[in-house]
Amino acid sequence: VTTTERKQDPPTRPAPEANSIVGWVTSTDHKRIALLTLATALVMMLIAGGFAMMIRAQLARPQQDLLDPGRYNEFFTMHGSIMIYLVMTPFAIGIGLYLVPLQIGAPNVAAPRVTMGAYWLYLTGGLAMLSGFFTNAGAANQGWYSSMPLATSSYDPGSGIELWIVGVSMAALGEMIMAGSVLWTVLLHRAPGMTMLRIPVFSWSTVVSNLMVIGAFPFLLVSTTIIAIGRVRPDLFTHNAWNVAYQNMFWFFGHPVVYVMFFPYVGAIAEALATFSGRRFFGYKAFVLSQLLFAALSMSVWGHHLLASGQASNYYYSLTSIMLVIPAGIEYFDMLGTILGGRLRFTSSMLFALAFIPQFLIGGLTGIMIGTPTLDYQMNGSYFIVAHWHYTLAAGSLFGLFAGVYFWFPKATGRMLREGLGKLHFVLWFVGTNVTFLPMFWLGLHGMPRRIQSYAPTDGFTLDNALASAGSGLLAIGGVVFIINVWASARRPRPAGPDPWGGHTLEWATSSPPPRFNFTARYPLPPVHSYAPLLDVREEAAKR
Amino acid sequence: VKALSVGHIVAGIWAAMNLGLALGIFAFGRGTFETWIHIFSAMLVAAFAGAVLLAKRGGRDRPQHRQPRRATAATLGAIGLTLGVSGFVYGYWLAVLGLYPIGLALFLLRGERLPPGAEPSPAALDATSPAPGPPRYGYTGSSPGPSAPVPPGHPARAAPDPGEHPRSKVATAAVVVAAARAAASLARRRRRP
Repeated sequence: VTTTERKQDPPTRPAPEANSIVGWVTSTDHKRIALLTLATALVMMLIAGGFAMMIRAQLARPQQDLLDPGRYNEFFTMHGSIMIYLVMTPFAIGIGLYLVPLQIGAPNVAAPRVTMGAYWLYLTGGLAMLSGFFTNAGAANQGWYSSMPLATSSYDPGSGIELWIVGVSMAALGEMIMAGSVLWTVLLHRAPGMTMLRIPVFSWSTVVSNLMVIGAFPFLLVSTTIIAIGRVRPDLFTHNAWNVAYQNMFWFFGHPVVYVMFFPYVGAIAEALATFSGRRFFGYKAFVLSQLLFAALSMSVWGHHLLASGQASNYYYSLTSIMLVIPAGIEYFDMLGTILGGRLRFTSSMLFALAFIPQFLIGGLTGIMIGTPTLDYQMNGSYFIVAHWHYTLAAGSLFGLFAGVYFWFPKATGRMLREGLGKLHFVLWFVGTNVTFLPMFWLGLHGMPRRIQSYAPTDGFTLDNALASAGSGLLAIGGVVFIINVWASARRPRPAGPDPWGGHTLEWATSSPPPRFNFTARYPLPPVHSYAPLLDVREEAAKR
Repeated sequence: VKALSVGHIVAGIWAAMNLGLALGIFAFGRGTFETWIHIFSAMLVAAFAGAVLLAKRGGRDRPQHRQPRRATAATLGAIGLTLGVSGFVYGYWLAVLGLYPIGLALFLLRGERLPPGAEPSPAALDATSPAPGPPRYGYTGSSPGPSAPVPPGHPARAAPDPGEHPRSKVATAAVVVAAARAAASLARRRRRP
């Protein structure tokens, strides 16, 4: 296309995608919808982090009265609920919504309007959950998994739980629709040459994660419906069959969601490790197979949450839980194989990715411990579980989340984040995470139950709790450093080129930020011969 | 085996693994409830896979160039649905209120897609340069595939002619009746002391 043609034929700007608020909130661009989702999730993370800080302040010393027991229950319930339903899950799905169409060379997601509607369901669901704080009886206080019959109207007649039911249902429905839309895009709208075994590692992790969303999230909707019925007819739960049915239904969702909150971040780490090692990702096909095996097994381990209740087969669920080390081991082998012998660049993203490896190992191995019935009987309901859970999701997935944020922020905004501030953020979080959550293992082993508002000085929990609270302070400071970094990037932008890191996948072939339909005549799709097409292009150029 | 796509193989392995695991619960002497949960979940995934296969057979497995122009209907639909479900907390009158945005969403739905033939869509004009500095979301590039400048006079150059979708008589009558009722209601309220 010549310049003359350009002059004769001036471009038109489509009104619906204008840079106005209306343009954003009614957008059909997958990148805008994803950015809205990711930004909302980050704001929700700040709120949930605030609740966590209040919880840690309350537990910093014995017998404090910063929070009364009722308010304490609300804070730990909303901290867990927000982090799971409104932060880690939607962020995992949202980052896929942004990147997957770019990585597979599609102009947009398959059903952009429905996906935008899904974002609104997620947002309004989140607001409904939070609005419980403005009711007379306060927000939901029954724990993020709503123990029954505790959540029935007999025990808690306030409307906070009802708003929680509405909010969780709406958010889950929105997340399910988003995941389905991304999955449909991968399966049907790939660019020419992009076969299933040329899909980048991150996109594969999203495929597998979204498969689990399709298979498991409907059970969350069934569970919230059961709780809703329990609100109207609390006598229902005098029959134990309903309690057991609820537990099975909920945990059939509750365990796979852990992997939904994990796989996309593993994918992000895999991309970061490969790029900053300057090497092709090691063992691609084994990684894909291991993810599928991981996902299939994850659908059959839910019963280990019921081991202590005696309502599940110890042999079956402990066997399937322990079998999870096989695919996890393959993934670890692939990640280590990628960085071994590589020319490592220690960017902020790479540091978060490297720290993920040992930290998630602690979370994973302690998961195998508590998947063993004899140990689970001892640990269940103690701070050991809290420590394991946070090593999985905070020391694991959150580090993956920030590895992804530092890696793809230049692509999404066209601006670089400050590396110095990024590294300070990393150091504060690395130290803070371990100082916060490691003492919780000892607290659990010494018998501190989870979800207690206070403890006596004679219990022997004081030092470990003080350490954990001090560590959470470091996490808060790290969070502030990250916000300053984003603010500095907005105030004084340092432009990012299309490919600031030397990336391997298709999103780095287009401009930063990418244009409306992702690839243009100026930024065309390169030929796709493998799961690292840009690396192929560079290697071919080097051969010449 | 060569004739099968990787997608078929993945779906097959997934189904086989799930079936094996579901039957494993039986082998370890547990009740049918847990097995059925697992099988039902596998059926949900299988239904999704079936829908994908049907779409593939219908020739929809290629980059999608015809795009909707905005998502107002989806936004309104989601708000309506949230209002409807909120009826559980605040009373069922709220569920009725939720029908209004859903109705409006259905009304708006039709005009949000470009007419057939508008390919590439107006937002996909070729030979345009990125905006000079951020924010650059106004940039109008082309879709992947063989790119060609859109000729002048092509339907992609302009919004669809509103005359193509004349408002139906029923819709017009409904709007008139609703407006009349609203006006009458307002007038009645003013008369109150």
